[in-house]
Amino acid sequence: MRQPAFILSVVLLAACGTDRAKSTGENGGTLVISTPSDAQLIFPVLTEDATAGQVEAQLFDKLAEPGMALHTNGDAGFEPRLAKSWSWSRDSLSIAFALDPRARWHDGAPVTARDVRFTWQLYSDSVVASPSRPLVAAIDSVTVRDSLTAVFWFARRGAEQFFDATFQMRILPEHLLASVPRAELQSAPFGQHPVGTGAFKFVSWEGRQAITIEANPDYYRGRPHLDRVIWSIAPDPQTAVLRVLSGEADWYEALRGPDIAAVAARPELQVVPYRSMTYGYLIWNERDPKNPSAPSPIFADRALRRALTLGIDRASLVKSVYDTAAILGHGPINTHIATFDSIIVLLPYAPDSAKRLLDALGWRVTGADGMRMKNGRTLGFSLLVPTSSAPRQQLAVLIQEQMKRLGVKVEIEQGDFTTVVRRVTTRDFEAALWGTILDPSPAGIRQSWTSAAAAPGGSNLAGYKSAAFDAYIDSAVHTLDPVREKAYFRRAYETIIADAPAVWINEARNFAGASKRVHPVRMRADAWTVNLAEWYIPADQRIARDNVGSAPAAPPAKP
Amino acid sequence: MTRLLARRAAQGVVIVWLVATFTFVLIALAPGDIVDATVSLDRSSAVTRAHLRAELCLDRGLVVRYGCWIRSLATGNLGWSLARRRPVSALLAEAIPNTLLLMGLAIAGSLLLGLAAGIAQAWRPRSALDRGIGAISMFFYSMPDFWLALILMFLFAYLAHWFPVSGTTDPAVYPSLGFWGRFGDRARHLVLPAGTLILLTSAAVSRFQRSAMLEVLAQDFVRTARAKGLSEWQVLTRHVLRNALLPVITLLGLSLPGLLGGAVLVERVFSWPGMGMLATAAVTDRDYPLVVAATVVASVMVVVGSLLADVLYALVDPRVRAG
Repeated sequence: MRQPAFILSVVLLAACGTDRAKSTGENGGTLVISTPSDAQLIFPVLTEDATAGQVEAQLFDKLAEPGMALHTNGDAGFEPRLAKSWSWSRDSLSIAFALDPRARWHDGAPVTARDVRFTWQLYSDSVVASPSRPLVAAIDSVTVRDSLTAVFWFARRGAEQFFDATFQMRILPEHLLASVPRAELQSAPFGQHPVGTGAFKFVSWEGRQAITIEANPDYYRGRPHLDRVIWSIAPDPQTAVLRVLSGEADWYEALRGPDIAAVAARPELQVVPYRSMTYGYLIWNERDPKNPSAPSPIFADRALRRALTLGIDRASLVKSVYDTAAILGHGPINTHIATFDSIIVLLPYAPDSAKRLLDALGWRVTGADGMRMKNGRTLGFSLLVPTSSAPRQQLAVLIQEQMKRLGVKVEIEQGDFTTVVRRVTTRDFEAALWGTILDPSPAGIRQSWTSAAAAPGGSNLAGYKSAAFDAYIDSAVHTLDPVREKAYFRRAYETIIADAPAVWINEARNFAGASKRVHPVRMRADAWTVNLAEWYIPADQRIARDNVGSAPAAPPAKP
Repeated sequence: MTRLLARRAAQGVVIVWLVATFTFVLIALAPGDIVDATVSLDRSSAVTRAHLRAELCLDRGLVVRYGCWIRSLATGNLGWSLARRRPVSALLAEAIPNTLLLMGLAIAGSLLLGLAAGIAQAWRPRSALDRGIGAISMFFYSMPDFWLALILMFLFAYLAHWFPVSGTTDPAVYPSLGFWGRFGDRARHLVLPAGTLILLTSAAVSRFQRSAMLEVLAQDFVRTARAKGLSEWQVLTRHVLRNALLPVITLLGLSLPGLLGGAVLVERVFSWPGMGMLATAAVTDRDYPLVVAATVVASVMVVVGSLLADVLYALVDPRVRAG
């Protein structure tokens, strides 16, 4: 745990390598991951797609990684990577990272503090326009104390200084990229032939077919178990699943519906459940879509939003649409965020209370059609859903039916994914079924729900504004005490849930389809491939493709 | 002959330009843009998204955007794919050979199979053989391409494990193989997608070939050939087949657009990284430089295919050469 008043040295955590020691002790094997999407570019500062992220996690190291519990307050639970240790300044406004002297780039060059400073400069450069740039804004500067010590400086203290310094950036090689003009980084050959520091080295990228990486025998934390990992790309998701079912691939990360049963029925395959950071919700737009400067005639009313929320049976929605592939939502958070608190209670399903509340608000059933009216206006709204998501379309129909029972008319509007994204992000909608993928930081909620993010162009799509919520969040992200942080966040969650800017429907559960040969280890909720170096395929279960192109074995480095 | 080809080529250029412009306008008017489709809302700022839109001319009017595109095109720059972060020309250079390989094989295979089936039917019209081949042809002729692709995949890849599910090679073993091993691996991966297209197209070829053969068989010069004492096989192959090829050549020229269309879905199902798969992904992503470029390439392929059909027609029929 962090003690801001003192300079502390952080001891090496034992996590790196212990799982390896426990496993078979034999290296080898090829893991073929079947995926429906190709990478855009394998260049951490520029990309944000899922496949690129999975590959980059193997090729490029961070200074440190959050532990399985995903704590982000202070440095508790973080596991060393390129930084073998770190120390805080007395005033807590800087952190000095001591780099592992054994770390080398895949071309053999040593990793230095200049690389760390260069990486921060890239991530924060407006010309580079990194999608992660807003997420490193809290870092004031990075300086080089000596060749193996990089110092991160902050303008103000905060709970997530350490997280900000380590989580968002994968360290990049200055000696290979400094000569490339910043505006031309996107087209630099590096993005097609990356050179990193990670447990695996880049081998090849056959456009839209496969990305291959191989074990780095000189990895400073010890050679990974697998010889090779191949992302085999099949744009049609059904074809991607079939590759696992036919034995051509070993892993498919996102089984859906009947595919789960198909995999479970095969004796050579296994269904691997793992945690997800995704949550889905029904969002009410509190601004008038036709005139965004004016409040919505319906959803600006907090009491009305609460009444509608009381009329939605979330449990039956989740059961009917997702079955075991999701659990009930818990608010603008999910159960894997460190500040999640199980005592938080959402608005219940209480249709009778909802009807009484609507009556009290003046929305009464007057006509034979059973719909509620007030001042000549029927209570109703359009619900926007993407055609690309079958579950959300099913949810829309069920919500329409539940609202009808309340006397509320819902018209379902369907659009292709891009159109729906465009309309929701420009707030051209009344209600929409939406989803968010969280990163481990509970402070990420600022981007989606605070008043500041409700400005045009911001990501608070509901236009929700609450001074109390903002204050709790502000207090939470600036306290250095994890207990107080959690208490502030709990109050913030309770506030927003009571205000009902959305109906928190579900938290996704992920199921991978995998060959039983594959032994996955430590799948983190926000990034299931982050510990891929620890996965293994036992020697007695290997098949022909496991023995192709093995990287030369080397004794593991001493930690 | 030369004048005919020059005229057709000029028409082809105009057609390609019209198709490209029409596609550009349609894509530009569609709701949503590539920045929405490819840049994460949760992680990127409004400033970043605005910067990207300005860079791609997306914040300008339709005419200015068209001007941007034409200017780039005139300098040989097909544009930059934001969804794939690569020059469009590089993406096309990867995809075109794969599509040409698949289509070339499909055309050659369907021609051989279709001609053989048509000849066999014409050889014994109204026989059990004729009816049997006719029924099989009709079965494949009426089947949707993606459906046939899925059925073949299910039978021969999923159940029998005879052929791979998808892709052009097995990435896990291909790099370690020798020349013949690589050739065999590629051939195995070609069987199902090419087989699908061959079955679909040869059905049409055989039906056309049968009709053309029967028509020619009734003509006087065939009776003369038989009267000279030629065997039935010689009559069929030397005299009837050559005269009956004209409608089939026309059909092949006309079926090129259809074959391209079919290849889009077949490529998608078998994850064959050709033009069809690239184009469908580009449409989904609103990657309009890539969509327009893919459309231009597809229309060029169709125009060239039609031109090729004209040339073949002229070669086979002296009346066309004479003008």
